[in-house]
Amino acid sequence: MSAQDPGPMRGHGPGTSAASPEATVRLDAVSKTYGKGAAAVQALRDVSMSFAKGSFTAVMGPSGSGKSTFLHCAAGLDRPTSGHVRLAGADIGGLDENALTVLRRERIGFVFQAFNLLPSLTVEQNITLPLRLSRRRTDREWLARILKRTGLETRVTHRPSELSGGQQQRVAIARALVTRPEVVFADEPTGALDSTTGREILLLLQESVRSLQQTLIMVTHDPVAASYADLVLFLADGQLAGSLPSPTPDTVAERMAQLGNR
Amino acid sequence: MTGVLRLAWLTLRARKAGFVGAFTALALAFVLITACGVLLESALRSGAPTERYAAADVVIAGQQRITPAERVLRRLRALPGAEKVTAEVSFPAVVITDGREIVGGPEGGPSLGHAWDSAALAPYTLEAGRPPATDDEVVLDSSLADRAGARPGSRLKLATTGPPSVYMVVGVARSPLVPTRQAALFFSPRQAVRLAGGKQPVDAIGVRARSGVSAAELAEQARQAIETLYSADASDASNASDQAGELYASDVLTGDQRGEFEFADSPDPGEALGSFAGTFGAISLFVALFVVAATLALSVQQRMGEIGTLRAIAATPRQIRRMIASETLLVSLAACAVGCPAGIALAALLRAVLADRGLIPEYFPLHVGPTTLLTVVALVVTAAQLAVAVSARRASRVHPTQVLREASTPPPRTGLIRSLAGIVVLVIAAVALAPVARGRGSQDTGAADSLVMVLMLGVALLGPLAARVGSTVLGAPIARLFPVAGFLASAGTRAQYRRLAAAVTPLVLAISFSGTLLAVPELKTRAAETQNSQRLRADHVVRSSGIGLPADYAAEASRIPGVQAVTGLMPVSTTLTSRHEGDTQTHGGQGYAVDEETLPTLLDLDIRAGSLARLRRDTVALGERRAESLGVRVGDTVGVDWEDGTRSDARVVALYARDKGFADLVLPRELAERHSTDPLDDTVLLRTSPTADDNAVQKALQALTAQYPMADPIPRAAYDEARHARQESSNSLSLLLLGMIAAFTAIAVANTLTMSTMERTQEFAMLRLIGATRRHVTRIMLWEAGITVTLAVALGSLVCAAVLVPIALALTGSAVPAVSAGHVLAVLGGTTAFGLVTVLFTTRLALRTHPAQAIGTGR
Ligand SMILES: Nc1ncnc2c1ncn2[C@@H]1O[C@H](COP(=O)(O)OP(=O)(O)O)[C@@H](O)[C@H]1O
Ligand SMILES: [Mg+2]
Repeated sequence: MSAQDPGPMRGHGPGTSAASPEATVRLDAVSKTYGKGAAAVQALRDVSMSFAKGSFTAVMGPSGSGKSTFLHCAAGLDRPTSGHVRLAGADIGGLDENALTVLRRERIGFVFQAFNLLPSLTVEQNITLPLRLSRRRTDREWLARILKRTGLETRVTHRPSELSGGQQQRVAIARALVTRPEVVFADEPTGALDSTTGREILLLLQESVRSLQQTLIMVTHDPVAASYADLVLFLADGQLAGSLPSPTPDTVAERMAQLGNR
Repeated sequence: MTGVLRLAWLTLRARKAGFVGAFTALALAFVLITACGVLLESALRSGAPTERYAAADVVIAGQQRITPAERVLRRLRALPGAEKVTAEVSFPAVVITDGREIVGGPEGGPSLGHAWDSAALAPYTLEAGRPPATDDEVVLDSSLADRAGARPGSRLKLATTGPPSVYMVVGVARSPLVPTRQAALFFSPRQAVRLAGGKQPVDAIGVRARSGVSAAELAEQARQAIETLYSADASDASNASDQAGELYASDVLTGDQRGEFEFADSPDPGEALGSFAGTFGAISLFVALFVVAATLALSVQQRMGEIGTLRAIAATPRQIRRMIASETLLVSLAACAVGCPAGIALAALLRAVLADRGLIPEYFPLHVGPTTLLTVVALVVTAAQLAVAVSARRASRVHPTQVLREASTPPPRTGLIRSLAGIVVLVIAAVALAPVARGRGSQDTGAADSLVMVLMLGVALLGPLAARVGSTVLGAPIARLFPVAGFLASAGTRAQYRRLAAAVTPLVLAISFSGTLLAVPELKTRAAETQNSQRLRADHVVRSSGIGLPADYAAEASRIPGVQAVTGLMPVSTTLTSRHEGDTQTHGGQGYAVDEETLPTLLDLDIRAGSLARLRRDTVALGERRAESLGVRVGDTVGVDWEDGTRSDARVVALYARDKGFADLVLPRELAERHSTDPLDDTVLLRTSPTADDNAVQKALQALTAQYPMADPIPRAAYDEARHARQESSNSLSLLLLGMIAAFTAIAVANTLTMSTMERTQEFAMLRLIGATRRHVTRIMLWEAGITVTLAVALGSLVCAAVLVPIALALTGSAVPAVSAGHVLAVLGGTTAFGLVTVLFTTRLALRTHPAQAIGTGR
């Protein structure tokens, strides 16, 4: 569990707080409490972990275990109550709202379960939206490669309403890749898809991470989806509850069942 | 509760926020329509109870005096049901106090002199003193006596149909109703007849029924008696000339009709209120239903996703429709609970404001009846159901799988039928407006201002099409020039043109209604003032107050050094009849009797045919419009029914164009005096010689008021100013209307803009997650609001122009409506600012939701 280990299949240390030059995302003793007083809910308790460049990690846990909270804190969408988050080399605790937004725009990609696209824009316009927001030119060659890889070459002028759910998710992935971000966060990206389409999407994600050396952090509750990752981290009651390298759907499901029984 | 109603109730409870818009629109509709309903009912119920005829079961009276009175009285006395028949004569009479103030009717009510024997009709009973016996004795009603500070034994100066003279008060009589709406002065019968003029003047006849005979029975008997008299007379007359037709079908009045006749000449508060409530009601009904329909359609459209889910879990389209109908019903009833009481409060407020401006008397009561309230509730609830039915139908037919896409983008084509209907409606409006535009300078604006509603309907129907075209035309350059926010706003409005249309429509409504409500009175006022000042050539104007000026006043004024020409304007109320080739046309004719010698010097009536020089003896000059309605030309003869109950023929010698706001006919004073019941001038016009000292003339005129306290002489400039002020204050009513409509449309605008902005919380969240800053989102929304407002300003200006240009053409002959730049700026700028600020504010509000919260947890 050496943090220095750069291999894509290794290098994640649940509970590791040691500094790692290769880690693109690192959480240090992060806690998050919602509400105050008697109504306070501790969604994350003293969570530390780091994610190495080029790794694909799935975060799993029962409903209410703090997965979304973890994702929000790790991606800089929400600020932890205590602890530190380092994202693409910056301690985001010191960044203001605008700087965070710029960071998101340039270094981070997002794929969500739904509401990913602007219905009024075409596929191409949706994909290049982050570039437009930062007033950057589109690298046509790069765009063509992304389109080819996501199988959307023939759909560039379509609008989201003319696409299937799987195709819409492909557009979201393409958009998450267009800025060549260092980290891609995905929150239940296959949650709204049938299993075949979900598989395609997961393979696409897996492949892009590999070829671009990106860090992919995916929150899911689906053991099959998690099995595409290099490593699965389990959350329970806002705490890290173990990890599973080289997961298969069966081993993941087994661990989940154990967590559920505790 | 049935299943569907229960589901509706649960949905409402769960999604309170989603129904706030619909609730607001409906509550406002209830407020406006309830207020109108209450005012209208109050107006209708204002039926003035009779005062002077309370003791007469049946009153016979007409527009003219009753002639031949003797024969009518004889017939009535012979009626089996008649107990007592009393003739009444009436003529203007007021008290002039020592301080030279005129004391007459209370609150603008009439102040009339009568013969003491007709006091029995009320009955006025002596409270003190005795009846008038000699020609210089008078009995006052108690309220007038109080106000004039008179008691039996006082000597009082009275102004009647002749020069003011002094009378001795011999008694005070109590009126049957207190407080009174009129003043009554009773003279000796002989003096009354003398002051009323004519051989045997009878203005009204009251008949008391024998016991056991109902008023209706007696009225029927009276009606028959008069009819037989009339037909006997007509057969007598068949061989004679028109002159024989002396008897006119007088009306037989009972109940509140008696009061209506009694107060026919005094301003009817019910009528003023009724016409206000009518206009107000028509506009607010239109605006309210319009806004309710638009809001409900929007709220159904926003729930397409939910409806799809329900369809997916096997709710039938029928169940969906019933659920939406039930929800709307529940929201309507909740809105009613808030809106109706608020509407009653608004009516009370309006009543107070109207009373404050003297349009209705202070005492005017408000009637809040169950019928009105039930009607209003039924009306709004039904309208809401009808409005929502269309959207519900569309929503319920959506295929479950189609829903998510349906919600994200509208079907690509705008409804063809809808657009066609819009074009048809606009063509109808154009057809109605064309004649107004063609009547260049005719002063006839017809119903042009009310066509705003028709035009608005057309705009609403064509809204999606206009939004599509408009967003493309405006969006393309904006997207090119502003590649981030401008581009996204342009793409958003182009794709979601239905949403754009939904936001544009209430803005157009706001611009159209406030624009026309502001500009139309302005145009009319200007045109009237222009015509007035062109018509009037006098240097000094003497208006009468309280009572008209006796003929001697004009004569005395003409003797003032430096005065070149004088004429009195004596109002004459006639009925005009023209007959050619068996076709008879009858129209009322409100005219002025003038000094035909000096008239051309004092009034420039813009003679179009004939000449005023020939206005002598039995001739009249007619206003063009009256001449047109009668179908007569110069040289033709018209029959004139006079106030005194006689009829004679008069030849038309001239037609004049400047008749608007003046008179249908102008005739020589000498002719009118023969037939007038009260030969008093309401205005006297003077023109001074070029060398005259106007201050000296004004001084002399002021001195004359010692003798004639009812005279109010002012120089020309002051007169114009006073007239302008009067116009302004009459416009203030339409400003009040404008204020309320503007407030309502503003709320409607805010409502739709808020609804369509808040709907996009998730879209904003997504944008922000992929790296858009708050400023990005705000700018996108401001650009979208800019496109929305620009389109609305363009369409609203078109609607206003469509109404104002024809009106301007009709009034001034010029196509450019003379509207002050300030007003244009206020309407367009105000709407623009309001739209932008609303969007800015709601965007801020929508951005307060944390993006991760809005999107991450999903549903
Ligand atoms: N905004 C919030 N306010 C209060 N409690 C919250 C909020 N968001 C999440 N929680 C609570 O925090 C805990 C973790 O939630 P979450 O991170 O959404 O879990 P998961 O995504 O694993 O289902 C839950 O108990 C949840 O109720
Ligand atoms: Mg979650």
